[in-house]
Amino acid sequence: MSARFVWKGAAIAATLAVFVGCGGSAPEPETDVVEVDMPEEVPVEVTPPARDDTVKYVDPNVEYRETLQAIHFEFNKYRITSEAKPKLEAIGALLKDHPDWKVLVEGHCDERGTNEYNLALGEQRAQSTKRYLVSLGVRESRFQTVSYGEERPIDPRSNEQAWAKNRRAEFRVEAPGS
Amino acid sequence: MSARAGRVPVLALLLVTFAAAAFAQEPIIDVSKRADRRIAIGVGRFETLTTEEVGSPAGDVVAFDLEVSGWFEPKRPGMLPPRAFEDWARLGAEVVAEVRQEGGTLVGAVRDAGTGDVLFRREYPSGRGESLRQRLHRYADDVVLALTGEPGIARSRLTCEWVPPEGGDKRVVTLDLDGFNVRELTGERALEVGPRFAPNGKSIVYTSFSSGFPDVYVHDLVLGTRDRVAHYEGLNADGDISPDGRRIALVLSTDGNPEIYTKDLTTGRILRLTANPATESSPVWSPDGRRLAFVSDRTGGPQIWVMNPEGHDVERVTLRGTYNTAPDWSPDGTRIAYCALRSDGFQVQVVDLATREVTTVTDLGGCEDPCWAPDGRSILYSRKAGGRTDLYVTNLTERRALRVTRGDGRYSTPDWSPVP
Repeated sequence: MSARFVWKGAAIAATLAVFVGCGGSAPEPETDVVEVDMPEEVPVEVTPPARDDTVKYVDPNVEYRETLQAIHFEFNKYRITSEAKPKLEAIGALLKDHPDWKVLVEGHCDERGTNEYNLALGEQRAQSTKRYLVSLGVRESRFQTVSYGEERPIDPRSNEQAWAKNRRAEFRVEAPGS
Repeated sequence: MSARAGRVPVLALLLVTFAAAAFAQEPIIDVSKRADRRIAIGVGRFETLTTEEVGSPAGDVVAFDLEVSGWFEPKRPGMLPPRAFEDWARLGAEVVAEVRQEGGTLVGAVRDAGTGDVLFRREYPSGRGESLRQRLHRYADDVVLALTGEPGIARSRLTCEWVPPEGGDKRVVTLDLDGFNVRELTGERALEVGPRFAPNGKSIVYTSFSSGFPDVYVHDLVLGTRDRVAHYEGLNADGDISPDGRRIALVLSTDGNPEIYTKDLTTGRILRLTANPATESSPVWSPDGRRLAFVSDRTGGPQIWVMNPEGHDVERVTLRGTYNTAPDWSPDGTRIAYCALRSDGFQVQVVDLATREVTTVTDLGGCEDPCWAPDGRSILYSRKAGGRTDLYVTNLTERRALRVTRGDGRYSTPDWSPVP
């Protein structure tokens, strides 16, 4: 029961370009057409499974920290930037080398804007980061996402420099073998 | 002033009916005939009540309560309190609030500043489980009702996020409208955000990270118990209980990105109401339960939209600006308050749903997360300024911002209890 919706328009593409719901190929943020599989009717009754809260995520071991570094986002955006892509490619390769690891992607925002909206925006950042890694061949079932919105700033100051640092996705892992 | 001279005899004549007026809600002063002008009321220091027993100067308590109602303009004595009753009229007061303690009983009255006639008087004995401060609030509400015929709001409760002065995670608290009596809801040491009262005021919905992830809880204020109503993969947030109490609207990302859902609190049935790759957040029920306002960035930046609870009849409400978030319906359902990013910063705006006319309520910037007073006459919001975040109330007629909290920690994302 689904139809293919084609979303057009530069404004939409600017924020949604990394959304890939239908293909396995790498996301292409420069396009102005986004294709997504969507249910054609709402309301849709859903029965989502409860979340698995038992995975114990920790900060990566020192040897992996340089690879599993945070990636950053533009203000009020969740598309993967060109600066973030090489970092995610390195992360994707590391995760493929360690198929037993599970990964928590944390999405964060700067302090501007309302807290509720930032919680959703942080989730979008975590999800778009996850989708990019999935598009590189990492199994989707290895990921969980969490959004902290604007609640966990790296830099508590109120200036452009601090805001840029705080708009980020971070990685934590459960690495049974290490 | 001639206006006062003309009214005083009327007040004197009404003296004989003051007791009935206090109960029957017949106003002593017909505020509808005064355009936007508030009643100037002298509020002294009430020196038979000490700051220690009240928590703050008793005159400040009553002055805030009367001013926040939107009907009164308190006249305070300043450095030198009036030595004679006639001095109140020289300060511009039309009426004078009088409060004193006799034994354990609080005696509250209002007198005509011109004639000295008693317009209202009531005793508030101890022993009913009410603190002296609570009795002062009740007196203030009685004064509002007796003089204007409109109910006061001084005893309504608020909920919001709070970070204590020493720092740490946000936690949900409840507090009085004057910023006192701050109480943590759960006492847990976990990040808690986004509290909202249920429409009957008996529970608070909020998001807690106590599992390590954002989950939606309903906390029963009577029983002190809580239920986790949403704990799915990803985001579970922004819970808002429907006016009939049967459903909760919320944001889940279990299907891959944040969308609006409803969950039936009895059957557990979940309906997804939006289906697109954009960011959806902040669903809020209209007072009649027939519409949901929400935020979506499906056209670019975040805007306020409305739809019915089946996800149909979707309509964009905010047509200007690139960032409009945090909607809240007026109690009569005719307007939506929201947070707008403008060239002068984040401001609270109100859009009239019939005319689409937009009014900007604040002018200082840093103003977020508006919510309506239960009487629809003022709006509560948080304001970030100078490293502090406090709650403010702005009356929609006077547009005067009154600070509610006093900088003891950071207060954000307020909600106003719909019932006292």
